[in-house]
Amino acid sequence: MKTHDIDAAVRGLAPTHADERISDGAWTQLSENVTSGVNEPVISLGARRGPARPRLLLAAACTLLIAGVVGATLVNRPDQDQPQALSFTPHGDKIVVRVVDLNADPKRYNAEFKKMGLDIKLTVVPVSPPFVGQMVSFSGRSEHDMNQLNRLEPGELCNGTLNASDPGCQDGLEVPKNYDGHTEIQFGRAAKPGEMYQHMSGSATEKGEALAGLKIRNKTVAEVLPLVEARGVKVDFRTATDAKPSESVPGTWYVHDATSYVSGLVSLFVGPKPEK
Amino acid sequence: MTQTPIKAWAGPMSEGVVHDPPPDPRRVRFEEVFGAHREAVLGYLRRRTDSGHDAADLLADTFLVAWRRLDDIPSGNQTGPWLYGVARRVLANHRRGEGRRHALATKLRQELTEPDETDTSLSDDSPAARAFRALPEQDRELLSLVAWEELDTAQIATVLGITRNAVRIRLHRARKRFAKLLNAPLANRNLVALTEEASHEDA
Repeated sequence: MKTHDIDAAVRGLAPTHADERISDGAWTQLSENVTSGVNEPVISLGARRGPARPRLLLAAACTLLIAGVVGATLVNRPDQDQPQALSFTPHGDKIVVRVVDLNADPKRYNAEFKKMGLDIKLTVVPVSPPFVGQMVSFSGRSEHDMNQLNRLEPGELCNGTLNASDPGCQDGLEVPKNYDGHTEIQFGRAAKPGEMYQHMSGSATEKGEALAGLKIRNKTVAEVLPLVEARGVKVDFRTATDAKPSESVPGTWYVHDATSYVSGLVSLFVGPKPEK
Repeated sequence: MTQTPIKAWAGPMSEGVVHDPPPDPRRVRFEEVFGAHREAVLGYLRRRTDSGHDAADLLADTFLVAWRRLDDIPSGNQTGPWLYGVARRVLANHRRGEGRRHALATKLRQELTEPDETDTSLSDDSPAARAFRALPEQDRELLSLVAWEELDTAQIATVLGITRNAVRIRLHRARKRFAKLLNAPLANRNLVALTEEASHEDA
């Protein structure tokens, strides 16, 4: 077989997706969001679901945080400046920063960063339940700002006997003592009803989300609605053809997926046919 | 440190947000790159994912990286391949289960379909399709970059981050393996089918 024939055979295998004309609005939204919504470089730490992650530990950590058991007494350990919103622990020529009081006023975090001479700003953003208490993103002005930072998983580089299930050793950041960059860190907080999440899981059926554990894929809308309503959340419908959410769709349609973008509201992705 | 207002991540309802439109050169450059390559990069991702929704999210991720690394983007006919290279890494993360869904591309998401009958890639049972699926991922990617993205050796080198010479050698081998699988006698079809299953698990 000649090269030309081989390439032609491969060309014939290109999957085609007919009728997918993208509207100007969709392109503009994406471009605007990329350039202005996230005004600075961002590394999202959202859905971190690496297979190597010890799920149990993470689950334990989340449960503790969601329950709000971030007691100041628990974090009152040696080597940490206490009682504070943040803990700073020297680690060689670096400092390990951890949030120990999630409910503290963001001003307190920022005051503490300033006291340490670090140009780091911490903000708290509404997130879906599984991301409450987690560091969801950090951003800087440039690669230089970002490259000096090392994000720490719960349990990583913890003090003494602290481990990943300890509220004092959740997500953290390793910063050089002479950090000369500017960074903004976002932590997740519980959203108020109706508030839009800035981070959420891929699907509303994932652990901790509004429809956690429900099997909805390729069930009909009529079958799924009672299940969703039983969770006490509202519903809107997203279809492939309509740009806007729909209030109602035929009950015989199929649910493909669901995502909760807003606290108390689940968006069902639906269509007239089941999804393969 | 002075307190500045929290800048919200523009979500699906960000239409109401007022954006200042100063002629920021970074933004102009991004718009240029985005406008010229968005369709091609979406096509690249679309051909390599089953789900249009995933493709939308991956496209958003790809251009987030492009925005962040705007100064690194090469000009001329290397821009596209550079973006494919980013898309390729984003896709690899996605396949490792590290993907994420965000609100940056809500509209795009809605305009892309989930797999259905129009998607022929899954059901294509022709000898060529079977042979292609039986190839190692690296071979498939090389052959696809030539046939689907119509890239030349230098451009593929940019996508994969390897030398042109390495591209030539690997491409030669990939073509050879594909031809061999295509011409495999019936008795070997089972073997092809077996490896095909294995490669499906990767996907």
